Amino acid sequence: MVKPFRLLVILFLVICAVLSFFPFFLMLSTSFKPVKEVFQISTHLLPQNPNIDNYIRVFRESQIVRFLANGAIVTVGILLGQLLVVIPASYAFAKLSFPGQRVLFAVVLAALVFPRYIAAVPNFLLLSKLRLINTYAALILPFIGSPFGIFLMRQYFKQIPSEYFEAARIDGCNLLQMLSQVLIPLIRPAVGAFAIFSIVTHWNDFFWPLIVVQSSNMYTPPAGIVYFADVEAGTNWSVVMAAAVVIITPLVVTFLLARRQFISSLTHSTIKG
Amino acid sequence: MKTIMFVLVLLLSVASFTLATPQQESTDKPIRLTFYHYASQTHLLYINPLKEGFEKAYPNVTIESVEVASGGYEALSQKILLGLAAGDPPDVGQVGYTLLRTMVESGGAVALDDYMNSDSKFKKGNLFPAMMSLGQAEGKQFLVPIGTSTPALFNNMDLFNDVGLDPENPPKSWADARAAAVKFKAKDHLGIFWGWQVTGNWIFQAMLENLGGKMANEAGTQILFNDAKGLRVLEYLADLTKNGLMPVTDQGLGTFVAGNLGMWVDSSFQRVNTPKQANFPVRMSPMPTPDGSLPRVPAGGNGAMLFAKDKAKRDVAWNFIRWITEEEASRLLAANSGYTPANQAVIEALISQHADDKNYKVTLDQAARVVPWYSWPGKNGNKISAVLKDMQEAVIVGSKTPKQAIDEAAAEVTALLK
Amino acid sequence: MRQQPKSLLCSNNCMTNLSSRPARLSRRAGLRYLSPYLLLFPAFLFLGLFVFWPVAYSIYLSTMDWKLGYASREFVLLDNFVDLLTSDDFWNAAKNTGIYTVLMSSLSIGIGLILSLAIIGARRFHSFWQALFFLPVAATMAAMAVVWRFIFDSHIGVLNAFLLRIGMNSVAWLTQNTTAMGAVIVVGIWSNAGYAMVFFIAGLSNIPKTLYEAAAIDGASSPRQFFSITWPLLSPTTLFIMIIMTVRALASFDIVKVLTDGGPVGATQVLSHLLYEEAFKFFDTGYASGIAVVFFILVLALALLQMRVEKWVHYQ
Repeated sequence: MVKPFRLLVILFLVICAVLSFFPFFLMLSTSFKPVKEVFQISTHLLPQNPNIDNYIRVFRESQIVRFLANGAIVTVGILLGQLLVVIPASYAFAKLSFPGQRVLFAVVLAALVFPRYIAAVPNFLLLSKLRLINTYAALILPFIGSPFGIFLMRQYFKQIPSEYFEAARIDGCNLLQMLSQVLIPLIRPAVGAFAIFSIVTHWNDFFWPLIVVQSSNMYTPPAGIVYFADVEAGTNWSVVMAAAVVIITPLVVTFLLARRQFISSLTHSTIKG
Repeated sequence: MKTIMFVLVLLLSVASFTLATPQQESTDKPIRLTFYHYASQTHLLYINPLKEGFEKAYPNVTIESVEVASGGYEALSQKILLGLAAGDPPDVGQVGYTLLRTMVESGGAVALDDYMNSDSKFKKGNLFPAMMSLGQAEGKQFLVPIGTSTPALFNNMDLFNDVGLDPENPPKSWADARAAAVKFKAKDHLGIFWGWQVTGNWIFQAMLENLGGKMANEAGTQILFNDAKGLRVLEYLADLTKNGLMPVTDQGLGTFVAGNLGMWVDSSFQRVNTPKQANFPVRMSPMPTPDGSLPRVPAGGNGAMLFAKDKAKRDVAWNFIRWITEEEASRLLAANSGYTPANQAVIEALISQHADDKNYKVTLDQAARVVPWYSWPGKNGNKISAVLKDMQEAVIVGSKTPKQAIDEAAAEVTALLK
Repeated sequence: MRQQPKSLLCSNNCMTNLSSRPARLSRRAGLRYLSPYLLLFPAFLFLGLFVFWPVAYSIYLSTMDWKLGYASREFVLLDNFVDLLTSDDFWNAAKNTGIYTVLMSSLSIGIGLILSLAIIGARRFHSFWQALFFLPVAATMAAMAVVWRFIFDSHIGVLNAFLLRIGMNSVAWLTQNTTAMGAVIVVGIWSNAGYAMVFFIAGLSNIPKTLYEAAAIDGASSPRQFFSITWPLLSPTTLFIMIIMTVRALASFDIVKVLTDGGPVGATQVLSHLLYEEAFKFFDTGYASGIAVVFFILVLALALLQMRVEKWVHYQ
């Protein structure tokens, strides 16, 4: 690559990075500001009297640690359930042929596009009948059948040459062995990407917990943010922003860890080498 | 990687067993009342003391909360409605005044008149009739007020001094308010902000009723807001925004505490928090009226409604609802929130107790001048509110003339009332 | 260079000679015909309970005049549909949804692709760049939308303060129809470009370097390499992203809710927000279900249409 071009690329990345990061900069800056400085953002971007009072308030006055723990349990539960259920299904769609395949896949697509807010009421009624309201099960079960996951994995499987599976079958591996010892290592990048998005989506899900959670100790991370937001009384934005920082941080850490674990380094060749 | 997965699964199973089990119904000795209420920090500050106070007064009853984390009064009502849909409603539910009609028409709310008439401990005379009327629908009492707020004018005392106005004497009439705004504008400040966006078109209704107008007739079959008086309200707002005397925004609090807005009309509930966020002293006063007299003020806030299906539960739940109107609860409410209770005696005691707090005095005085927040009948109450909000927004943003906006809104609302 | 997957081997060493085995179809006993359905069963069980049953129930509800939790309901067959298809609100929302979806998806995908190419081209600090552009995706939208609300505010916002400082006029971003929609689109792109980027990077990392090396030896220029190698081999990812991004654009409403609440006067009202309002603000569950059904049919048609494009997708 020619040198000037690479400089241009880096410049482009830097500009995009600044635009991308700016709202977070504001969020961080506000989280360290005392309440009286919050609305001076148009004049003072940085806090004039920075302190960590807001963070102390977040930890002391809300159940944020509990929310974070719930978030971890729920997102991991959902992810594991999804992987167990989605990997076999997408393998079937990608590599096997059977009657009704196209129709069934169209059905999965349909599930993907259905506006999920409308499903809230029937799902609530169902879980209420099963006496599962306000439990982890209610937070986890509805998301295990992930059409997005099936769609993603199917795309990925289709890119893996069939020879791998044929050869494994020839050698006498049964289905289970094939899935666990051949398949999963091959699809690690896709599992990595899926894991990131599943975790991020369900960690940040605000809407469904509001429907099925009834006691404050079962709420998920976003509840920690809105705890301090009160339209009628006049929200204390600096504390809200501090709560938001606390909640986003685990996701960023997870992303960095997952990246290293699952996505191959870009300088090494991968399965197709 | 396999070990990580294994450990995660193990943790997950252990965690879900130990943490997941909701409270089991053990003995039937203590009676449990389910109470659906709002659970943001500001609301818990008064609700928790109320719960504790009641449980102390009635030791054989425990209140089991269903907490709604956010989403305002709509989310709260939605939770209750979901409960009704599933056949498992709360015993007592906290409901915002605007949603009274919606909850009554669901068919799940229980009228309280029988209890009020037969229970000697209930002292109707202690409560402001104006506030009790907030909870009436179809000729019966369905809701008992917990906490009420009213519109008030917040004034930036520093800016008043800066333009040569007396901060202890804020404008009382629309004309004075406009003149003051002109002075603010001359010095590059923002003039006045009428909180048009506050839920349920509160401010529009307040302005209209203080002109002598009405939203609609009693039965709700004929709209009345589109007469000359309604038009005058919109024209007043259009005039302010067009001439740069009122900022075009919906962020009242933010704009005010940023320090460049002279006057701000919003809920008295902001009394406690606003001064904490502002770098300047804040003086409250009654909102300006067309002729400068003391305003009649629509009430915001919430109350308690009864939904219990079981007769025995209803009796116990009534005790809780009645207890809220009594002196101890009213004091707890006033001490822990920016709301005003419905108990007249308590309010008078507070007025003498806090005689030096001029801002508090404004709020307390207005309790006697509360008028019902107009609640639209029929199924489309919330939609009608949305139409009226859009109507004001169009005028403020300048995309429609007041006449255009009010005529179009009138047509839509009439259609929705059918 | 061919690399053996470093996986655990089957008990009878079935992975030893992967490279030297010819591809041959093998037959197994009758159980094979059952196994696809067995593999699908768990997924469809959960989908059935938590997606298909709600769909059926919603279709049923859309023929009713029922408000959430109300004791009485009335069967009105198609009245809800007639009402919504003749309402200005619905068509206004549909129009806005179209504009938002097309602009937001195409720009997010485009920017995501460019970012992924740039990151690969930059050769260093991949984790850092990826994390930076992924932040908007990972952030809780409810909180970030509030930050954006304050960036765009006419009086206390940072954007206008900056414009004033450099001598330009402040703009009423959120109270004018076109700029309000523009603001919503900008925030939508901001929060979705990183999503596309991550998938494009995963897709790009699957393209064997040897192909590029061979092309370079043959004298192919960079643009030529992109169009002949990168673009075709990226097509499975691109198709996937197109569909997912469209679905995301159509489903998200938190941006609209916090930034403009559908305003000013409906200028940024989108179908997902309309649906949310009808269902959870006005509690008009029957009518909202009607909107959901219409919305669902439209989006499904769109998705199936996009899947037709799969003909041109290059799978290996």
